[in-house]
Amino acid sequence: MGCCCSTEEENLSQDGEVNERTRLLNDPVSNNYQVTANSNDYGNHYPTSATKKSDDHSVLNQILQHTASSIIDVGALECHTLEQREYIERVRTYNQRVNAIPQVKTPSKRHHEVQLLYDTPATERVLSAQPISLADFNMMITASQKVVAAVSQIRVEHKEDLVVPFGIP
Amino acid sequence: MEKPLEKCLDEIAHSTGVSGVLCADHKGLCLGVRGKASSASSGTVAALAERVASLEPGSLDPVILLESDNSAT
Repeated sequence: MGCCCSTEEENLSQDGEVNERTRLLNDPVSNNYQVTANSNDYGNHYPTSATKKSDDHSVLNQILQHTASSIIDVGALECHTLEQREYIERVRTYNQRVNAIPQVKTPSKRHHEVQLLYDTPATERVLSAQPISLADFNMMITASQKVVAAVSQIRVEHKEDLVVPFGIP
Repeated sequence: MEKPLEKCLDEIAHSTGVSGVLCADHKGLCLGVRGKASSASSGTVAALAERVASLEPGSLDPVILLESDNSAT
C-alpha cells in the first residue's frame, strides 16, 4: 500500500506501463538539482565573451530555463482515462480477486435476522429518483397542521371536585 | 372532544391520493386511523419521525418519503 507512513516498499510498474500506481508528477527535487548543474556548465564555457547585454540575456535565459523546468503543467499531463473495455476488464478482475478470498461469517448472527447494513448496488439510481411532488408536500404540511390543531382541543374538562366531603359527623 | 380530530381525519382520508391516515402522539400512542393504515404501526411511525426530526435540529417538522419497488408512501 502507499501512504505517507507506509513501511512497505513502493512497487512501481516494472515495464513502464501506465497503471494506478504510476506517478503523475515528476520528482521536483531531482529536477532542480539537474538545472543548476547545467547552468554552471554553460557559465564556464564562455567566461570572457560577455558584454553587459549578453550577461543580462544569459541571466534571463537561465531564469527562463529554471522556470520552464520547474513548472508543473497539470493540464498537459498524460490523460489516464480508462477505456470502456479496460474498465470492464478491471471490474471483472477485481471481483474475481474479492470472491477468491474466503468470506468471514459472523457466528453470532442467526440466519433469519435482518442485518442493519447491506450493499445497495445501484446507488446513483436510488439517489437520483424523483423527490416528493410539491402538491403532495403541501398537502402533508396542511393536513398535519389541521391535525395538530384538532388534537390540541383534547383537554381535561373540570366537571366536579376531586375531593368529595362525605359529611361524617 | 375528540370530534374535531375525527372530522379532520375523515377529511384527510377522503382527499385525492390518500390511501390511509395514521395519527400518533409523540410517544407512539395511536390517536386515530383511517383507510389502509393500521394502528399497530403507530409506534414505528412515531419513532421514525423522532429520529428524522433529530437529523436537522431546529428545522420544521419533517415530511418522510418511503420508497419501495411497488410504491412510494
